[in-house]
Amino acid sequence: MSGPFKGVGLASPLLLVLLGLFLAPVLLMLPQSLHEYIPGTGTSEAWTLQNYTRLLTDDYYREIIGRTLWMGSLVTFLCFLLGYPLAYFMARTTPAWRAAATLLVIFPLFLNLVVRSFGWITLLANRGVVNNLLMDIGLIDSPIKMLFNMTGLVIGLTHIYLPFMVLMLLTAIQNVPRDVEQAAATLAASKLRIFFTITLPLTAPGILAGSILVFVLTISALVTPRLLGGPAYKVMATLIYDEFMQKLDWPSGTSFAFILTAITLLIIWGAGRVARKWSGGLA
Amino acid sequence: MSARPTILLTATAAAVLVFLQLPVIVVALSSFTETSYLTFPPQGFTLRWFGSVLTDPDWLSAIGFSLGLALLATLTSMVLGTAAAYAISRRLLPGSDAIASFLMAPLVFPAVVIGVALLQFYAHLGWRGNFFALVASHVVLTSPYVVRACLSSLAGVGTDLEEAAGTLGAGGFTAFRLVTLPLLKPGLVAGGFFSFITSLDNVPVTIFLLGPGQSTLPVKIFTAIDQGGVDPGLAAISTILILLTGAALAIAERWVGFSRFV
Amino acid sequence: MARLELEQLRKSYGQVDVVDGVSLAIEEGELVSLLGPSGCGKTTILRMIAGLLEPSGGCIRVAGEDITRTPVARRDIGLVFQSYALFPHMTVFENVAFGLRRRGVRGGSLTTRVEEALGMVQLAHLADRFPRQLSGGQQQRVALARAIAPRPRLLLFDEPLSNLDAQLRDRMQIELKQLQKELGITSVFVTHDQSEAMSISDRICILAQGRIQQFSSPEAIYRDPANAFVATFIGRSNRYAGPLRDGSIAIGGGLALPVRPGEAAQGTEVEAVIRHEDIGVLPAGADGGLHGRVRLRSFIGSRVQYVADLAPGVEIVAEVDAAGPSGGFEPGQEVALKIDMDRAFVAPVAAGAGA
Repeated sequence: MSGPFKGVGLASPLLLVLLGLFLAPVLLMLPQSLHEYIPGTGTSEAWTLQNYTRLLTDDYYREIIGRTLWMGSLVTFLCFLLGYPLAYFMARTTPAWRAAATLLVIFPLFLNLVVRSFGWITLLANRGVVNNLLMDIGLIDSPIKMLFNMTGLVIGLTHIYLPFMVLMLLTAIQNVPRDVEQAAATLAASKLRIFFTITLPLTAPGILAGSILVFVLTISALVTPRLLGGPAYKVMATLIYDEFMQKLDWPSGTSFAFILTAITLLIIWGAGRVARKWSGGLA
Repeated sequence: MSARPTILLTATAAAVLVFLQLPVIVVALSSFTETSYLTFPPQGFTLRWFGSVLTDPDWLSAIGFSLGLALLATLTSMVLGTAAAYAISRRLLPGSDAIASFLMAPLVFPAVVIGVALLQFYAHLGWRGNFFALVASHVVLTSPYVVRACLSSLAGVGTDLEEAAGTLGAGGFTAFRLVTLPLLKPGLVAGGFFSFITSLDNVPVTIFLLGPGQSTLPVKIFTAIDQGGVDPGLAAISTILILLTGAALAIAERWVGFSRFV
Repeated sequence: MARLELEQLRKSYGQVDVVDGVSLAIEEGELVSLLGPSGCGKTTILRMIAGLLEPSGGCIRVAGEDITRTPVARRDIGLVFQSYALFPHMTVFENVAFGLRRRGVRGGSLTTRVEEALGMVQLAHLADRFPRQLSGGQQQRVALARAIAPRPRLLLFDEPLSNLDAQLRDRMQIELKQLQKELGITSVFVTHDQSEAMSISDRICILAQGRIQQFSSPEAIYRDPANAFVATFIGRSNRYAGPLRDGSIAIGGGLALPVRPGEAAQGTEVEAVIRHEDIGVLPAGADGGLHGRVRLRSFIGSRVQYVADLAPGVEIVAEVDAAGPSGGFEPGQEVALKIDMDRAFVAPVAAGAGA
């Protein structure tokens, strides 16, 4: 056995699993989204686009889409803002500190998502740790509402996806050649100037990759938004969950799933184009 | 230009690291409270909640179900993922790059969409509640981690090593077993660890596919919180998960220096 | 230990013939180098002999047995890789034992034979080390010991010394040749370094564009090149081309080089390849020399190299004994350059393949 036969033999088991249980089920959902849901009886025979038009024209659904994208942007920005200094520190510190910090970054990453969200409920509730602390030291008189709104979602999701951003940025910063920075220093550039004119631009591809990853994962997150947002404050993923599990309106849920997928793929595709353009410019 | 980070940078980094551990600390400490409601800082110290969770058959069966599921999904992913990664890395078939991208796609594809797609697919086939169908769906989610780790390991194992084994009389699979596989071990362990954690962590796909009476540990915690029950028992079970994760991470790090593969 | 024969061996990728009908026979115990510029097909031939590449045509025989389709693992060869390809997860001992174990050698005789192989490369004391704990030269020796330990019928070397520094390379060439003669294993040695090929080989096979240019002893190749490619590839030389008139080549600037009668027809375009050391440098006006002016002088150890202008646009490079009477000319000085045309290679232009 040689060449392509061996290759096909080795790769096909996993390929078949993914074709059968990932690609096929997603594509097979398409017809479902093109029928109308009739409460009580199920799905109509007639074909229709109204599931899609409704989601894109109805103010209620449009607000949810807008909220999801806004949430994604905020979380991405915060992850970058918190992640860059940490990644920069890790890249520049001693190997021993870097190893310790790496473990502290990946530990929460591996910790169960539900458990982490649970921790944030304890922290952010009206009578939770943060509010109690603020009231004890007299900064506020009554609790600040941090659950079941954007604040809670953004804090919780930033915490969850921050490790991804840090690890992406760490790789990017470590790949910046030190001699380029040193060359800038010999040209009498200040530390701050070196950072903004050399390090930051050279890590831009890493920032882009990390941001895309965080954004895409945030807008499709289900567990954290559900637990910190509750049943009423919905985002796209929790809406899909409710359509399927509570309202049993599979056609609407499916069309919403496709819209979420379309947004995700569009962003990844767009970022890929930008990245190619950048690397083309550098080459 | 000094190479060391400034104090300001170090302080910021430390603050962010604390932020990352915050919910972990809070959950772990509040599981020792003597009160019957969740409070922080905890009142007194008791292990009562651990006892009650660990003697509750519902929790125990959820733990068992989760571990069985994660173990089977991980073993399957390791076998299939290593084989596929090998074929891709050695360019044994056309379109290797496209195939690699496809095999990695579940990493960024919205999990909830995979969940509802499989829900409809399994409902149609009557597979909902079938344990092995659930394992297979987890393989979709966990195999990308194995493929990724193996690809990065294989990149460091030159084809000349297998060729050398060949010239010394070890053909095909013998060369793979004696030379490539041992060198792949760190990547495989890391990939397997990721895979196990991912399976153990999953809610957005699992929750759609469970049959009546079935529950995994995270789905059970999720449902409990979703229905309003935040109590020290949940904190206790969460603390157990925290300890297990920490121990597993420490072992994996010592064993294969695993942070290289993140 | 066996005679190796290649017959019309071919390898093509699409339309491109990387190896284009190579036939040669290597005698038992002989060490033959495959020498040529990169892309000449030498490594491809070696990999086909090893069984790591499938030939597009032709056949490979060892001791009369056709092994063209035999899987690599059953060819009974030893291959020393350019990268050494030591198994990083095994000790030196285990690396060397690998091929013996595959051949069913166990227990005491395994230990004896591993120690014997390591002894041959003077590394017996490092048996318990891992490859990463060794220097480049030591790794090279382990790779050699690993290849010879099973006493294969054929030893193959793929530029094994190219990663070593110059001094170590010189010493390894000697050791390697000695070891090969002791063991008497038929060997094929791929290299792009002509001095390495010269010093190590019984015979050299010069390749260009997938074809054999010449297959002879080092002396024959040096003294009697088969074509212009070999003449220019081996040694360092001046190369002049021009029409043949009255028994001389007109090389421009009103200069003519006399050639032996019968080298080519009157009026044809011919070229002459003259080695640096085949040119004598004498005081100006000496009998039978071309008049020139020294432009550059480089001292290279025991030799001195001159670059001189014969006429505007016509230069010549000569190399002489530094300690001899010709070693002391300075730039700007007028000299006479005496060319030994009997040793020059002269042939009609484009007659030589591959140049």
